[in-house]
Amino acid sequence: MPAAKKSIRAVSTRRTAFNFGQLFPEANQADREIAESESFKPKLVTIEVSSRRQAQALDLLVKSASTLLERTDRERLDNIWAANIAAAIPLQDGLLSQTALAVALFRRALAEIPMLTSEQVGALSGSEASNPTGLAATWVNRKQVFGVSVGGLGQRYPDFQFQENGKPWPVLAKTLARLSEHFRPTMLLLWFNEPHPSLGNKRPRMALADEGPFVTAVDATLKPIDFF
Amino acid sequence: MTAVVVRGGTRTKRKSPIIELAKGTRLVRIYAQPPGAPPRDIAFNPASAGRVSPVLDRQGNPHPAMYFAVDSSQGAVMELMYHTVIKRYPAGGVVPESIFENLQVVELVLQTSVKMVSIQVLQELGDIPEDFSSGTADYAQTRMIAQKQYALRKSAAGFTWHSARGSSVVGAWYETRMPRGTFKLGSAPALLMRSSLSDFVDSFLAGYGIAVDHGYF
Repeated sequence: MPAAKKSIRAVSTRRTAFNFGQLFPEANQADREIAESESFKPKLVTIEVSSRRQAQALDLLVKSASTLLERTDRERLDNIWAANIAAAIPLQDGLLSQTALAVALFRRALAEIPMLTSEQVGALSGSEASNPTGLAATWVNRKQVFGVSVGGLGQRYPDFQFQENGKPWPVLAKTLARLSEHFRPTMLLLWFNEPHPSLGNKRPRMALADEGPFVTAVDATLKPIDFF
Repeated sequence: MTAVVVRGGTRTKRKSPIIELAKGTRLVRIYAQPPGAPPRDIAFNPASAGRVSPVLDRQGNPHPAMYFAVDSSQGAVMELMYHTVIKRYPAGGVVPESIFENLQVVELVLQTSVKMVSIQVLQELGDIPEDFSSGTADYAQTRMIAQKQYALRKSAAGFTWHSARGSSVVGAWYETRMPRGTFKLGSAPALLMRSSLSDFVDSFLAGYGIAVDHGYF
């Protein structure tokens, strides 16, 4: 294999677009012709993008930035997000834009959805148990509700999960286990808060009383893409 | 254009919508099922009657179609996403990475030239509307037009068109019109989300406001 081919294959593990001229401005004409020939492109490269280190870096980023939610003004927070995201994932454009999008949706969710403490969950249900604050954890363990870690605030429970009597909506017990296999809690919060096509673009959190359509939306969400 | 002398005057020869993909052409294909897989329902198809194919066979079943990109692996991703996630979810949609897990990407090399119907030429000729198969087109109308062209162009193995952003040529073959040995594998199949294209998937969907859960948060 010519040297040019080996080089571009190695570099392409960090880039999605093959632009030989940009990657190797010093390359001679012969190398360029090889790289740009029909027999060469488009070559596919198998890589492992979901590295543990990257996941850990992002996890740390979200935790630290979430801690600042209650303490900083909006403009400053935007700057912090942008700077930290760029530092954490400098090479992968897609992951960078996905992270920025998730942060924007997360902030919208936090602004729109009351997030309850375990004490508030216990009080809402009218529990007379000796340890009402443990009720939320019990329901989480039984996959009847889910909690979201909000940085320095600790674990919070989105209030849409509870009926007027303080008990979880029954449909959650039928669907949360499946949803949790595919979504981490933060992204699950976003899924509940954004319009869903199976519900006529209604938000899933507004459809918990309609069990049939809600289950259909869950099924549609988790169905693998079918493409020939 | 070529002027053709005919009795009583001249007329302009119509441009042919048939184009040819030359032997040796490399194609990129992303798929959930290999050629010949049995038909089954798919939820993402707005027609909801079956597979991602606007053409029906004699029994009325969706005709198995194979989608590919001619000149760009990113074009293959765009076409896949355009027909599935983008068509389905509004901005703000949130999808798990697991829905992509069964998708594979492979490179194919044509072993013979293949005739195709060019959607672009048909549009230039005014035979089909400009918004054919666009996001705003009525799917029933798209299906009717595709069915008619499929029946009219029996020498063609399928259709080609420009992908969602116009940066790549993509197409669909119909299995029964592909002679055996038409292509061979140019690379071993690789899982899409474990390939160099996965970041482009993220980037493309983020551009449409659709978030993908990779399990990071």
